Amino acid sequence: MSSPKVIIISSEDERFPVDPKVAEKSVLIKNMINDLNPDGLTEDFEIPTPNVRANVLSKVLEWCEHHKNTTFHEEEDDDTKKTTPVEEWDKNFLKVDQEMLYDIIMAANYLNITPLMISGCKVVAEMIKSKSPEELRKTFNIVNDFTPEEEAAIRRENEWAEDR
Amino acid sequence: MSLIDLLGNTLSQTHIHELPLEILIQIFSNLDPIQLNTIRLVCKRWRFAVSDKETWLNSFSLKFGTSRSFPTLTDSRQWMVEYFDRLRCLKKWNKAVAIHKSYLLINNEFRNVATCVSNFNNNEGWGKLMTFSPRFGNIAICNLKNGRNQSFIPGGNNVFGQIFSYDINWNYLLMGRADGEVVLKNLLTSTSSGANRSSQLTFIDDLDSIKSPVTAVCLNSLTNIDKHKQRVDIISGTLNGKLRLWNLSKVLVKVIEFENESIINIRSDFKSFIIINTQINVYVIHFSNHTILAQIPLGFEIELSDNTFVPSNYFYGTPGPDAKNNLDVDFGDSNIIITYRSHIRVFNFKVPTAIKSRELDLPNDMFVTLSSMQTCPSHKTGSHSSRNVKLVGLDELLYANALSDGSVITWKIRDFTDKHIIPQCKITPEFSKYSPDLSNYIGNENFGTITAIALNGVVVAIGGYNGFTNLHNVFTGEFIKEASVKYPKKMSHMYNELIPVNRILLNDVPKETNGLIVCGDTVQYFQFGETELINSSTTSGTSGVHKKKINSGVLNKHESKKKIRDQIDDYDTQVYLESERQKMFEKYNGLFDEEDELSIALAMSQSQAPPIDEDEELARVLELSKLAQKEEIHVAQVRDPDPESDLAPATEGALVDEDDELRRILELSLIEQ
Repeated sequence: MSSPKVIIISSEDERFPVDPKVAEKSVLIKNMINDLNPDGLTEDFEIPTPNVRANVLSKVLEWCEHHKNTTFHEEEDDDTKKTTPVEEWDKNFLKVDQEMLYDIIMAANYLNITPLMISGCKVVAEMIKSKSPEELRKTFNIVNDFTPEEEAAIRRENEWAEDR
Repeated sequence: MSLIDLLGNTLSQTHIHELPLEILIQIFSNLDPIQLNTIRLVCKRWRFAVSDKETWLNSFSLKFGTSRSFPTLTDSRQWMVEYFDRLRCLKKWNKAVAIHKSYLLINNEFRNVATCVSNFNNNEGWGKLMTFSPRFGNIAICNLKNGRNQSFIPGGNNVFGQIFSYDINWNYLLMGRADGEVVLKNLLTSTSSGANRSSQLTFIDDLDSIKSPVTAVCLNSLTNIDKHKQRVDIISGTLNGKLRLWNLSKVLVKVIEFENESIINIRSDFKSFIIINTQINVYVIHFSNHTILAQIPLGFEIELSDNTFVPSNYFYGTPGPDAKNNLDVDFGDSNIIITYRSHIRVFNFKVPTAIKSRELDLPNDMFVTLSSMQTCPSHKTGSHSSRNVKLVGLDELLYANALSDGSVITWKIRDFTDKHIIPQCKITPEFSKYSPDLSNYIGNENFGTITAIALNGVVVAIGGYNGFTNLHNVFTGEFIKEASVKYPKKMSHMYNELIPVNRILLNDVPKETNGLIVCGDTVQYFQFGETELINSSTTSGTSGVHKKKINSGVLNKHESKKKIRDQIDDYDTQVYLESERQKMFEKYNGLFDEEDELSIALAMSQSQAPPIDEDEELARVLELSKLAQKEEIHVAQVRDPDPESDLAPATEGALVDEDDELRRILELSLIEQ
């Protein structure tokens, strides 16, 4: 007899059956399961995630599978979380194209998988590091929406870092 | 959130602009402030995210471990300004050349220094140090940086063990005595002979025949002395609960009675409030109309014994179990801090009818051994201060406690987000292996391993025995370095006896990186980073006896002359090298004629592999010389890794490392505004 599964359904109606332990890496899913089945799962449980595409969802679940036994720092342990570099496995895992990376971050944000989101953000931050504005626009395909006057003004201003 | 945006949008490629702002902020939070500066030029959306406070908070916290609020070094509202100063300051504590100066306090052989007053930032360049030992009433004053110009004011007769409470400033010493007298000593007119009786005033309440011991006193620390002497400048409290307000002409202005309670501590800003604590309560009293604004129960009782108010022997590193509680008041943000045994309490009396409180109770028989509020200028905590939450870091203030398990905790006074006091960090200092081994002195349970603490907005200094003092980062607890160095051999007692550090003083300007370690009768001045030479002689008369002491046995006349000659030679060499370097600089920056330029460039290219054909080379050289003539462009290109300007930054890069260069440019651009 197999234990009950959590079936996560992508935006294209593709079904992903996974272990509850894996699925519960997502705080959103965990809360949903706990709220609807306070006595624990007895049968398969379906969760639709209409704004996550199948290819993204499979990536996210791959991450959850790998980290199913990892315990992460508590929520309030803010400082240590920020200063630690991205784990090697996560780094390799997130070696994907930009679009996929953003999709993963957004999915992690939506499903409330904080460690994955933080890793993702750090990877993007790595991409930003030591680049000029011009390079950054090229890298991220961003259109410069400043007029030359505005740009000059920004270069001159110094109140930008004011506490507000 | 983005849930709806993405519905039906699944086929399009995701662009970074589709990330919600919160995530963008989260991404930027991982970046250094320098990088944030670049980012705001990319596009409007990014610029908006960078100026978000959250981004800065996180970026800051990432860099310095400060978390959401912290004491500001700059009193600035600009994060960038704070960032540069903090960086510079940390660098100084960590890496700058250190200057140490050890000296002896004369006539202070009993080593009972309990309190020190210092002014590091005296305009004349020489700060003063004043030490006071309540067991004997002795005062020693000297130059803070080298111990010269010492003067001594003896406590006189009938003092030993009599001083139950005291307060001191540069003008006066106020003592509350066991026999019920309040004595004010004018330090400006006092002499070392002690014969000048008129410098001493005794305050007596004629209407009260019971001479209850004066257990607490408080003295207005303002330097401008009230000529008419009508103002209340002195407050005293007795064991039988009488709070008396006096002016300098010995007139009793007001008596407030607290029945069945003893007054243990008094603090006042001499403007708005008087704060006192008794065994069971804290009272907030209106300074002018003397009404009690708030009575705050402590929730525990402070036990008094015969020993509570008697000044302890120097031999103990920390106050004994009979010692009274510690009371500190942060008038800038209306916070009262009480520590006693295992209890730490903070009460906020901004609204006296609605007192807010925070607490920390130590577990497992642990207790607080030392308490210290952050050293800061008086405009932060003194009488005319008020917290300005618009400053970077919310104008936070820190507090530190040493605990009986040999650790130190630092925590935030002004952060009332949680009703518990949550330590910012916990430090268990490891003193140098040369520091005395306490196990050789078993038999006295009063030995705490930590005997003094001091902190500012950057570091916390923790003192042990025989001068050994460690510096730690006040936010992360990370060990920075030892503040103390070896004492000169002539101070042999520093090697033969066990002497606790009495006090550590840090400069009250938070950016400064100097301080003092007072250990028995020796003082060590330390300073990291630039300063004038310590040994340069002062104009005012130096105490002859002491001067001899300093020079004796080290160098004789002939040797010192030779040393001076050597130093002059060294200096000349340095000047020569400096001028040579300057010449080289000018060459590479294109102040020479074109021919020179060409030959240099050619020489350089030859020395650099791989070789390039000459035409291209020439073109490059011409390009270079154009660039060099326009200095502004040159500066801008340090940041743009333009292949054509590769040569120019390379020559500079050899002298200044790139990181520093970047910072300097950014700073300059800030200053120009």
